Amino acid sequence: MMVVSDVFAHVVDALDVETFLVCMSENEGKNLALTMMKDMGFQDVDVVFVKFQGSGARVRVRAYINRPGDKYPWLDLEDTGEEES
Amino acid sequence: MKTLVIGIAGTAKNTGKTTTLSSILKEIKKGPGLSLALTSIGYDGESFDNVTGLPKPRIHVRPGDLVAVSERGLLFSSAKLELIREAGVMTPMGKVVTGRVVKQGKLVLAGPNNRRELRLVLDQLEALGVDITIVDGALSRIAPMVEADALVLSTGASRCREIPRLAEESGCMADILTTPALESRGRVEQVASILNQAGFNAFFEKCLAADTVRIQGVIGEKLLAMIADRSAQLVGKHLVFGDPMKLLLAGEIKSVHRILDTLEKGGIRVGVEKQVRLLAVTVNPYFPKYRYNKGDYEADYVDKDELLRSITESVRVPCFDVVAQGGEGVFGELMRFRDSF
Amino acid sequence: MAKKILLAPVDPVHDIGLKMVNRGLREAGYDTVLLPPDLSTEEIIQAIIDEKADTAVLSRTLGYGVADLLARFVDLADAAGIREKVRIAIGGMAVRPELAQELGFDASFGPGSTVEETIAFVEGKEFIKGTNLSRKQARDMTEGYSYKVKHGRIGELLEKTTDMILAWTEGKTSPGVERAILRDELWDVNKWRSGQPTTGFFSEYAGLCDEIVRNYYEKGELHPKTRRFTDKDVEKLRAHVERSRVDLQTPSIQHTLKKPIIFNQYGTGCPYMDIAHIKASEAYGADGVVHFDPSWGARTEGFFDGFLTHQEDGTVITPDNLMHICESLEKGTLWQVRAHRGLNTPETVVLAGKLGAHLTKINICYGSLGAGTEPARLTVDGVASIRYAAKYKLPFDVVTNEELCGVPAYKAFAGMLIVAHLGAALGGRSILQPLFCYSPEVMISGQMEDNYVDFNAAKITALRSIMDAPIWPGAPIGFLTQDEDRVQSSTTTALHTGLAAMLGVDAISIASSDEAYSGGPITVPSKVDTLRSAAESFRFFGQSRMELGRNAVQWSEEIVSGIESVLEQVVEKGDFVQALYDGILGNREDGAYPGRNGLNTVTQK
Repeated sequence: MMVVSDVFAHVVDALDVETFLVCMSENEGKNLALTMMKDMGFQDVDVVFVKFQGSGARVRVRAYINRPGDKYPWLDLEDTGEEES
Repeated sequence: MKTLVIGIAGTAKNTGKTTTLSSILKEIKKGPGLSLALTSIGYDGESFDNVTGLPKPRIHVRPGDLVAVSERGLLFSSAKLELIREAGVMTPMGKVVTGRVVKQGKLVLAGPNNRRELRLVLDQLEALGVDITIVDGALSRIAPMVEADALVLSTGASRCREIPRLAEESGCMADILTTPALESRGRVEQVASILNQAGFNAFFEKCLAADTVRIQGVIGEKLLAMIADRSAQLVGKHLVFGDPMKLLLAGEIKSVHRILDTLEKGGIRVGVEKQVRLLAVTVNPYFPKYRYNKGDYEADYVDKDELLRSITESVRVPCFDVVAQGGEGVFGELMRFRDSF
Repeated sequence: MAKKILLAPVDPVHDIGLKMVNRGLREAGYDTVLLPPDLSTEEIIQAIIDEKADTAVLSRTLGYGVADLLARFVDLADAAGIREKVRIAIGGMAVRPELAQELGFDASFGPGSTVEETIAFVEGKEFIKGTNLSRKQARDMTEGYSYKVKHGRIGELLEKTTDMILAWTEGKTSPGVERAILRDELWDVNKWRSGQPTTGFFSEYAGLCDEIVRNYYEKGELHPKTRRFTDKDVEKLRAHVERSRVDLQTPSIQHTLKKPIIFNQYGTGCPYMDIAHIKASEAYGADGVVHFDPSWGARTEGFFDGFLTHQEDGTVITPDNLMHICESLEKGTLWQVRAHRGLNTPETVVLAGKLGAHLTKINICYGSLGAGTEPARLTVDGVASIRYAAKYKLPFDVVTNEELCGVPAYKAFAGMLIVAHLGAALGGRSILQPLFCYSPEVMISGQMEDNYVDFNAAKITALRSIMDAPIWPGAPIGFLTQDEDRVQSSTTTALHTGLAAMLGVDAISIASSDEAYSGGPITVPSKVDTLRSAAESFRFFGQSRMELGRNAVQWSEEIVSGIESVLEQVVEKGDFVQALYDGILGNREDGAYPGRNGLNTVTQK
C-alpha cells in the first residue's frame, strides 16, 4: 500500500532521502532512518547507505515506490479524456 | 455565412480567460450544432501555472471541433486529432497544425502568437467553413486580437485586488476599446510609430500641415501627453489610429484615458480605422496571493458579488461572472452579435 | 543578404549570456547591435526600427511581474507593425518554450541553448532539438583496427591456439548450436514481427529445450517468476516512449573528446522499467546500453517468447522483450545483447543480429571459468557464436570478468586474446575488455595500494603492445572501488572515467551510484548520478593528460610476459578445453572453477 497521492504516480522507481541524523551508533542511525520513512507513510523502505562518524550518521534511505514487475502509475498519467462536471 | 471570430482577451494572467472560454464552449455544445474552431495566441494547458505554481484549468474538446494548435502541445493532450494541414506557422512550441478532433479529451491550446500569423490561421479556418472561431488570449496581450470580429474581455482580482480601482480601470479600458471609427478627411498625412522625441517632432509638423494624421503604429504615453499639451495648436484635427489596441498599449490605462479625454475636450477628434466590438466583460474574483514566509502562491478571492456589481456599473457592456452564473449570459451576447453580423 | 540582429538585455544590468551570443553571431559573420541594459520598451522598439533589424533577441531573468513587462513588449512590437518583418526571440535562465509561447515570442532560448540554435532561428530554419544537437550516430568502435598482433612470439602462439580450437570444434555440435541453426535458418524475423505464424520453427525448437521452456511452447506455461504484458500495456508504453522523445536533447558527455563511448547497463527484470531507465540514460548522454539477463536464463536450454516481466534481477531474453526494448531506443543509441556465458550463447547472437543489436559479448574463458558454463560446451558454442557474430556483423567484446574471481590479469588477458584472435580469424571484430577494478589480484599483491591509476594504465599499455584492437574497459569501470555512498560512488566513477579518457580507450561501461547496494533494484536517479559525474570528469580534464607512476611500465611488461607464458602452456597442452580444465587460464587457487552447466551436451554432428 503506497502513499496515496497523485504526485507519487510520477516517481519512476524510488525516492531517496539523504540526511544527517544525530545519534550514538550506526545501528541507531539506521533504525532512525527507517522509522523516519515509515512515519512519512512509506512501506517498502531500506537503508542504502549509513555511516556513523562523530556526532551522528549520514544516511541515504530509500523507499521503493515501484519495483520492477509492478503496474506503473506513470504509464497512466494521460487522462481518459472525460469531461469534468 | 462568414465565420464569426471571437477573441477572449485578458487583462492579466489568471483573470479567467480559459474559464470563460470553457463556459462558452459548454454553451455551444448545448445549442443547435454550431461548428466550432479553436486557436490561441498564447499558451494554456499546463496543469500548473508557469510562474505561480497554482493549478490552471484546461480546455476540453469534442469530436468534430476544429483546432489550430502548436505541435508540442498535442503531445501532452489527451484529445486526438485528424490532421488536416500544416498552417505554415512556426511557434516556440513547434509548427501550428490544423486538425479535426476525433477523440474527445483535454487539449493544450497554443497557437499563432502574433497578428500576422493569426490572420493566416483564421483565413485557413474560415476556408474550412466553420461557424465560430474562438481565439484564446494570453496574459494581457491584445494586439493580435484586432483580427477578431468581437471581443470578450476577462478581468479580475489578478489584475488588481482593489475593486474600486479595478472597476475604474475596467471602465477606462472598455471606453478605449470601443473608440469609434473616424474617417480621414481633408489633407491626410501618415506616420508610423511615435516612440521618441524625434518621432514626435516629425508627427507634429505633419499634423500642423494636415487635417488628418493617420498613426499606423503605436505611441508612447509621454508622447501622447505631449500632443495633449499642445492641443491648442491642433484644434479640429483628426487623429486616426489603426485600432483601439494601439491606444490601450500606449501606457497606463487610466492615464491614457485621461489624456484622450483631454484631447477630446481640446477639440481634437481621436478615432480608429478598425473598430472593435466589445461584447462582454467577465470578472474573476480569484488572485494568486504571494506568501512571503513560504515563497510561493496560494489562491485567494475578493468579494465576488461586489466585484461583479462594481464592474457592471463601470463598463457599458454586459458583465458576467461565469463561474457563479455559467456561460449562458456571455454566450447570449455572442449569439445576439452573430445574428446582427 | 546578411541578416542584422539586435540584441537587447531587458535586465537593469548586462547579460553575460547575451554577450556570448553576440560574440558567437559576430564570429559567424552576422551584423549585430548589442543594446545597453535598462532601456525602456519603447526605446528598444525604436532601436529595432532605426537599426532595421531582421531579428531581435531579448534576454531577461524571470520573476513575478517580468512576464507582464515582456508581454507588453511583444504586444507593442506587434501593434507597431514590426512583427510583420522582425522575428523576436527571448532568452534567459528560466525561459521555456511554453513561456515564450505565452508571451508571444517566435522562439525561446533556455539554458543550454547554443549559438547554432540562434543562427538557425536567425536564418528562419527549423532547429529541431535533439536532431541538430550533437546528433548521435551509432558508431562502430572497431573501425580502423587491424587486429594485427605486434608481439612476434605471442602472435605465433595465438595462431596455434586458433588452429587448435577450430580443429577441436570441427564436427561437434550442441543443443545450443542446433537451436541457433534453427533460429538462424527457420525463424523469419519479419514474419514474426508482423504476427504471422512460424510453426516450422517451433515444432523443432521446443524439442531442443529444457522442460520448463518446452512447457511454454507446448502448454503455454510461463516461468513462475514471469508475467506477460497485455496489449493495453503495450499501447501505454509506446505513448510513454513517444512523449519522452519530445524533449530529448542528447548532450555529449565527452565534451571536447570523441571517445570513450559511454555504456550504461539495464536489466531490472521488467522491460518497461528498463525502457524508463534507458530513456533516462540516453537523456543524460549515454551512448549505448547493455542488456543484463537473469542468471537462470543462462542455465536453461532455450528461450521463452512473449513480452514478459520478471521479478528479479535481469530482464529475460525473449524475442518480444528484445523487440520492444529495441523499438524504444533512439536511433543513435548503441545496443549490446550479451552472449558470454550459459547455454544459449549462439542463439543469443542470432537473436541479437536479427533484432537489431549493434554489439554482443563473447568470451569462452570467462564463461567457462567464472560463470559456470562447462568448458567443452562453451567452446563449441563460443565458436558458433563468433561465426554468427561475423555473419550478422556484430562486433563483440571479450570481457575478463574472471579477474573478479581472483584470476590474475595476465591469465585472463591470455584467454581474452585467444578469443579475440579466434574472432579475427573467423571474420569477427572483437573488442578487448579488460577490467578497471579493485580485483582480488591487486588486493593480495598490492598494486593498488597507492593509487588506482598505474595498474589500470599498465593493462592498457600491455594490450596495446600486443594487438591492434579496440579496448573497452568494464565492467563497469571502478568495480569494487565503490561503496554505497552516492558521492563516493559517483566520484570514483568520474575519476576512472577520466583515466580511461586519458588512456584513449574506445569505450567504457559505467555503473550507477547504486553499484554497491544489493538490497534492491538500481534506480534511475542513481544512473543519472554517474552519468553526470562522468560528464564532469570530461569537462574538468578535457584533453589534458596525467603523468603515470614509475610502476606502470614495469607492470605492463610483467603482464605481457605473463600472457606469453600462459599461451606457451596452452599451446604445449595442445588441447584448449583441457587447458581450461587444468587451470592454465585460471585455476582453483585463483578462484576459477570449470563450469558444469551443459556438461556432456557436446555431440558429434
